[in-house]
Amino acid sequence: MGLRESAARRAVQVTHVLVVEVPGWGLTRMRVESELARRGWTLATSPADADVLLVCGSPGQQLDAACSQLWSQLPGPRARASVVSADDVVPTFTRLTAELLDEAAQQLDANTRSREPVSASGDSVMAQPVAHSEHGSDEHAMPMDMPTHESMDMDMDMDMDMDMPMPGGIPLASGGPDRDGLEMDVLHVPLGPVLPNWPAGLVVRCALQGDVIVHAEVGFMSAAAGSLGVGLAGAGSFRSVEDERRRAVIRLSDAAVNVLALSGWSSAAGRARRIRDDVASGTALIDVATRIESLAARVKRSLLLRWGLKGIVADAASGAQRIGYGEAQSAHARLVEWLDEAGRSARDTAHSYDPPDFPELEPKSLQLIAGLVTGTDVASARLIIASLALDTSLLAASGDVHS
Amino acid sequence: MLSIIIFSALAIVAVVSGIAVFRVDSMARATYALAVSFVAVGVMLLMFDLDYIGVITILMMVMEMAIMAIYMIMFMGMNPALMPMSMVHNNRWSAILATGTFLLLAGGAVLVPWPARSGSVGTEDLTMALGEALMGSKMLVMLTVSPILFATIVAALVLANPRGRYDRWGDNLQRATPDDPQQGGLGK
Amino acid sequence: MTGEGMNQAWVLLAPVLLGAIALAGAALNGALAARAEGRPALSGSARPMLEVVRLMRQRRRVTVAADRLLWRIGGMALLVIALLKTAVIPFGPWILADIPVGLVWFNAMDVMVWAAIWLMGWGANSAHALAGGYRFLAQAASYELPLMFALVTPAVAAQSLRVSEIVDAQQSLWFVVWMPVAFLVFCASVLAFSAWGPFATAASGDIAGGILTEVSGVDRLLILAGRYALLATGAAFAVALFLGGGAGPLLPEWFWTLVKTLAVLAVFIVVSRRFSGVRPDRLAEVAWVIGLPIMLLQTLVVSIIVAVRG
Repeated sequence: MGLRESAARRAVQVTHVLVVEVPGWGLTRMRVESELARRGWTLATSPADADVLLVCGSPGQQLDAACSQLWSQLPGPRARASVVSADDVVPTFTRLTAELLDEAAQQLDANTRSREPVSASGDSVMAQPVAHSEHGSDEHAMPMDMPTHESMDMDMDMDMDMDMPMPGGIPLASGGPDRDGLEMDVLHVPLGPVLPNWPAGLVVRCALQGDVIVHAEVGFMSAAAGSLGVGLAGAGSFRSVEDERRRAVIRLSDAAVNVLALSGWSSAAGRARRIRDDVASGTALIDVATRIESLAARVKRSLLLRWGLKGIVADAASGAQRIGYGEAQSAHARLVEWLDEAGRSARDTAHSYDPPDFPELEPKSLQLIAGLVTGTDVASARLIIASLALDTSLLAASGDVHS
Repeated sequence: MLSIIIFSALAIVAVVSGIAVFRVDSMARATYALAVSFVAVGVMLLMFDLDYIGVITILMMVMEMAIMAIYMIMFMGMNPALMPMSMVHNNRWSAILATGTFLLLAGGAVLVPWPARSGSVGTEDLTMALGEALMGSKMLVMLTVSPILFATIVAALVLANPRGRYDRWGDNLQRATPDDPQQGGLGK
Repeated sequence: MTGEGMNQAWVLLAPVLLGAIALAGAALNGALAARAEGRPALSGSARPMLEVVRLMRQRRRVTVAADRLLWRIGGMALLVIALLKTAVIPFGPWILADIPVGLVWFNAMDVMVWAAIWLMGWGANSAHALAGGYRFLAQAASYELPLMFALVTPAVAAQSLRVSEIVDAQQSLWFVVWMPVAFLVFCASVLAFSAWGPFATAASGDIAGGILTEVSGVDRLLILAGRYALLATGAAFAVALFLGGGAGPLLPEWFWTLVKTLAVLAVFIVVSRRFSGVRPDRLAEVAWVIGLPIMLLQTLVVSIIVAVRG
């Protein structure tokens, strides 16, 4: 029907895409994001928001299972694709558009999908303490029943020796003392591996009381064994000085995008993203330098940002093992440092270039992350992790790390 | 006639949602059933031309229910989701007291010989008239009572706080920023 | 046409007008976002309508053991609340319900937003949604008292709670001139109760969308539209309370009301892009220790002026 087709065509113009970045494919992910911006599509914040699931890279087993779960949570009409190299991005997008517009295929998909939540506890890869279900769980949001205390001092009119009540097949959460000495229920929520502005492949399994992380375990979901990623800014043993500079600017502005977006300043994050994409697509660094400097000035001027990031300690005080890039302790100071460094690198025209010292990420340093976020609330934890500027592609070769 | 119908409908809504507070399966539903009950009472007050009091009742009650959600978290942890739960305790005495109070108030409302209206309503501000009638010569007392109430609440909270000034600021009250688990916006 | 007839026509017209203003705000936001991304502004301004089409096409979804009744009520409530708020806002000579306590009605409705957003957070049975709901409550407890005093100040100056009388009292001098603090606090509160801009932590990406995490399709559309509608109605009320309502040279009152409302809404949308997010736990101390005393001072100053003037 003409009306439906034209409606579909219009709807496709503002597609929301859920991007899953496999560690090691950072450059592809950046290319995807720049193409999204060019087309007017948006990055989805959650599977409910998404029309398209786009996997950048070849995921390993755990990450693949996570993608399947996410796929099952996309409301229709939906499409799915996988992009490996940066050149594939544009044809993939065209294919996705066609898939979304294909009315018959979407109807078929809608009719053959299960309407009931599927309990996947048997083949659950995550070994969670609660049963999974199609609609009910994913790596974004573990739906927890709002549970009752087992030991309320109210008369319960049901026997206490029956099985734990499980509405919807999910057991109720149990309580525990919280930091104020009150008793609050403990929710087990995994943060990652797919979240907006989140390091690729990282999973932080939290025990939350309210908003506060009382216990965290960090794991990692890596790429498929034997696959070669393209790294955060291109792999390759030989890099010219120019390439080194570009790589540094890209990485620094990518880190800035994450911190600015998580601080709620989407327009500044957008500016940083444009800087990153322009450098990645080959714009001369000198042209970008002014923009970086003006963004840095803006960020330094913003009192609200400084206030919002106050007290976010970005790295371990005992500098023995730094896991993130940056000299400064606080998140705001680090952000400013990155932008200043990016500006300096962009203006630098010397023949030799001393790249910034990005620390290597090792599996054992993942546990340091757990120590950093324990005791903070979710917002601070997100900012802490973002201000570490982790490059998980360096971990990609080591395989899945179970917490 | 219409006003009687509306009034009865609102009364039924208020009572039924009041009963629902004890019958529903989750704390959230109980809270908002209570809110519905209060809002129905607020609308009834609007029907008496007590505009200000009616709207303020609705405002306060909804805000209280929202804040009760915060207390639900603080003191009950999270609360059961759509699970059969019992909202009552001390059943026998509660029922006796509730029935007794209802009989007393209902009996009063029905049996007291209310005076007939003398004169017309006119354009007098009903809210002010009600205020005068209720508080009348005690207005000054009322004015001072409210800041005293507020001070009492604040004092109770301060006393109940397990962490005092010396925990936060150090033994000599010397620390630059207080030692709080969650930092406040001003560093105070 | 009699006044009665006009009022009846206005009943039908008001929601349409509210929708149009909200759409204009959304279009401006889309245009600004498009410009920032390097696309032409016009394509960005078409974005709201395209999103409407996309969301209408999208299927709805539900989570396991979600409290569907409360969840959907919360989702629908934002639009309904915005409509109820417009009932007391005068548009030129027309007003849906010029109740004697219009100001308090407005305040009561924006307290309902607390309930709505919490219900959305609770009903979804999702940790992120619940975190979003509670973030909003923390934020709301902070802005509410300054907002109430910001609403009281024009009432004190006009010596009435009726919105049309407050508009009339500004014939000689707009209230924004001698109560700027109240105006600023009111505008910030409008952003806050619409969960917009710097106060959007309830729906922000760091908790995967917060209250928007698990909603899709028409439910999502209702929530997003409700936020814009709240912004629009807040802007309209700011005009009535502080910017003289329909006062202006030559042209009819409804025209000036519309122009001013659109201007205030545009300011809301443009200005909120310049700021980073305000975290509710940080906001609490600032609002109570700094915001409320300043607002009380403003009210005191206004009261003294009114008392002296006699």
